[in-house]
Amino acid sequence: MSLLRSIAGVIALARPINSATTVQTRRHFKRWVSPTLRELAHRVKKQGVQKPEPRSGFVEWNYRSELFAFGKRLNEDFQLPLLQTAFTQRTYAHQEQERQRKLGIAEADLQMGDNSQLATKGVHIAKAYIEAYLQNALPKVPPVGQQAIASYLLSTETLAHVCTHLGAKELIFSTEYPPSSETLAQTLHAIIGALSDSSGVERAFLFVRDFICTQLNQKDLLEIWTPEQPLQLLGEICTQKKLGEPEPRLLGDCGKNTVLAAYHVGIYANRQLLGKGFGEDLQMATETAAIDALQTLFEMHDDRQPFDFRLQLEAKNVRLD
Amino acid sequence: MSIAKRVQQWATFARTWHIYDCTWQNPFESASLVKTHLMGLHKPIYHPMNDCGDHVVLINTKEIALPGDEWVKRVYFHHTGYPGGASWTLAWQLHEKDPTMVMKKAVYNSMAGNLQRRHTMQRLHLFHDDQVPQDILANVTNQIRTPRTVPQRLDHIDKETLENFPAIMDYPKDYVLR
Repeated sequence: MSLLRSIAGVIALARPINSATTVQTRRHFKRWVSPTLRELAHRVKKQGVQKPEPRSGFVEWNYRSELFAFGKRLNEDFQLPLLQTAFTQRTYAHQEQERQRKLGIAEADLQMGDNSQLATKGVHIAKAYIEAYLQNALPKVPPVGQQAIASYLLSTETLAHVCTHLGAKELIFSTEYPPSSETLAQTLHAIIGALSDSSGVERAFLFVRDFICTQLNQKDLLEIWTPEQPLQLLGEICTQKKLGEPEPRLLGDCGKNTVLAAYHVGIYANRQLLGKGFGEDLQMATETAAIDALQTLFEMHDDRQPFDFRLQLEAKNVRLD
Repeated sequence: MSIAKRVQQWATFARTWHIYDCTWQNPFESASLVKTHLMGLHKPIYHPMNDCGDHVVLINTKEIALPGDEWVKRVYFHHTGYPGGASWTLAWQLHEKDPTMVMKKAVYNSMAGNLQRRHTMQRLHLFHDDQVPQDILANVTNQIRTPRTVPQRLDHIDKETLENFPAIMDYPKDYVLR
């Protein structure tokens, strides 16, 4: 009997799988398909908008391997316990300790670190490196401008954006899901702190350069920082550099008596054209001309040389307090 | 959008005002030139769906010069819509009625008949002489170069210049000038 069955099996295997006889052509949909789909759609609608499901809630989630892969993706060697601490929020740690205490676990086993210390460290590193980087990349921009650009890079939105796209969202131990942007920003700081503890502060500096400073690429710097009262500032700078008194002059206009009037104003100092700007009235045109002149003086024009993100800053040039 | 980018946009889409002197110009040759500026065809940002046309002020339309015998051969057709409402007007008759009309129709007919044409025509300002209102003249910042130079007329040259002009020969004393 078994011999017969094996022969039948061989014959069945020998038949080509997609031969014409095996293809079943379906001429219609079953009568139950449409009502079933309708019922399913109805139930989904009745349930309302569902909250996003954390990936860690799925059965085959392996936190340890995800943690390991996170470091490897970034080409960094983290100490895994440190990295795990960096992903643990203080509120989550408290909640977890309370839960375990209720279950009657001994007080000695309840030690659960959180990322607040690492984050404090990370803030220092990131701030110091970004300031040093901007000092190097935009040397002619005054300190006010550099601070404005640095605070843009260190803002919660920028850091949260970077942290999300590094894939940290699923790894964070937080009481809420999806984690808030404050949580994401703090986690990124903590990751920098953890990296500094794992592989040294130089490595952390490079991390800041590669993932936070690069957010400046292709950005309109004027959108991040516009000098207030540009004409006055230009006057101060011209006296500093002994360029002479800046003087706005009309270069051209069109449609004076219309709502679409446009004025073209140039700013001259000592018969040299410093910058020119347009505007719907003379005041606005003068202001934009002053901004244009300042952009030239500060070397922050759109057409300046792109930021160098391969820059190797020496650690002694970074003022880490 | 930063302030520099906003004013850049403003300057890009600014409407320039041009002036064009029609004295001794062929209206049909001028029309294609004027049309270019009216529609903004001379701009790198031109696109049929981009509203980037300029204003053109046409002066001295009374002084246009039609080629050949166009004044008597060119006919403008009009129909009132009622039976027997057709009328044909010669160019010289139309020019007598309204000295800006020949020029206006030349520009209008030089453009394709689409929905945009009537709006483009709103940016054309016609004057039969050189008396342009001051508020319009203040807007003007460019003059379109005319394709033809205006010839000097003998009866416009003053008498003294004519008498002092070097002659290549003298008439005999007994020659009768009619």
